[in-house]
Amino acid sequence: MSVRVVLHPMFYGHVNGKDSIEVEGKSVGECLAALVARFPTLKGELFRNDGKLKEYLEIYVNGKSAYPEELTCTVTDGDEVRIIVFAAGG
Amino acid sequence: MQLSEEELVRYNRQILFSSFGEKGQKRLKQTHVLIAGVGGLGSPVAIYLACAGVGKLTLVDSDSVELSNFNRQILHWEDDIGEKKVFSAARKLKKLNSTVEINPVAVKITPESLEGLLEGVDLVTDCMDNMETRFILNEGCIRKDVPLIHGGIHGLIGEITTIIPGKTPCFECIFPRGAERQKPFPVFGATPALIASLQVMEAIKLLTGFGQLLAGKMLYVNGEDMEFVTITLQKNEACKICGGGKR
Ligand SMILES: [Zn+2]
Repeated sequence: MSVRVVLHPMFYGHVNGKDSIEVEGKSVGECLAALVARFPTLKGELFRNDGKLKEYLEIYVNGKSAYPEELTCTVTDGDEVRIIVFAAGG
Repeated sequence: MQLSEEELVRYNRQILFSSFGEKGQKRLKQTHVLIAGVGGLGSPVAIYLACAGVGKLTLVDSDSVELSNFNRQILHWEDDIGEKKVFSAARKLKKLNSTVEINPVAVKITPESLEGLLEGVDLVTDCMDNMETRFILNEGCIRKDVPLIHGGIHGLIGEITTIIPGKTPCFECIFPRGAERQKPFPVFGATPALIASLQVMEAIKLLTGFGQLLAGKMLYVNGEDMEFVTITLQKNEACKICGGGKR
């Protein structure tokens, strides 16, 4: 089982400049946990202290928003999980 | 409508652009753009739209000028501290291009105030600094069938997309979680300057009908490592605002 996590440009610095990472997992939550296990500095970028996703992130699975149950959303081999950041300043 | 001798000279360099030409210039003169927020994004958006010869600019912002604005909000200067941003901005824009009608409105954007503000407007540029108002702008624009060019920034990161009611995903489709980010947010002046310039390019193309728009696409810019990425956005069939582009 391999899922491709596509990162927002803001996070490239945490994954040695890559724009996507292949991980294993049956849900978005498992995939992100696998990602964070490999790149620990991402944890503080993606998750709040209570383990929930940061408020300003959107998760898309195969191009569709996974809201509102992002972390439990199931994924299968070949799926794409995309992490989007909302830049809200102006 | 004819362009005056003076206008032909003033706008000569852009009239030389073949897919724009005199036709584009005349069209621009007849348009009315609402600039929502006259801060980091709104300042350069207003400057370049005024320079380009958009007929009427409505500036909407309820804030007053503060010292901490000056690293990026280039329409506001040291002597303007305490003044409402829309009046500070209008004064300079009038000097920059006296032929453009400037309509400064110092009110907060709410669903109620937006209703009247959108009357006769051809395009809205989202230059806001918060989520809440962006959702209000989105809903108002979808309802009134007015295109909305969204810009957002954070640090050295910026994003831009063009929302066309009935055609593209709306703001609610793209950001269903809709939560607020930290305020104050970090930012260098060059980030909103860059995104604002892209918003103005989109505006000119959209208003005069040439080129390709970022419709249904989001361009992300990361100045920290100079990455530019465009992704395709999808409509959300369950969107409560646009119904997946149906409204
Ligand atoms: Zn929508």
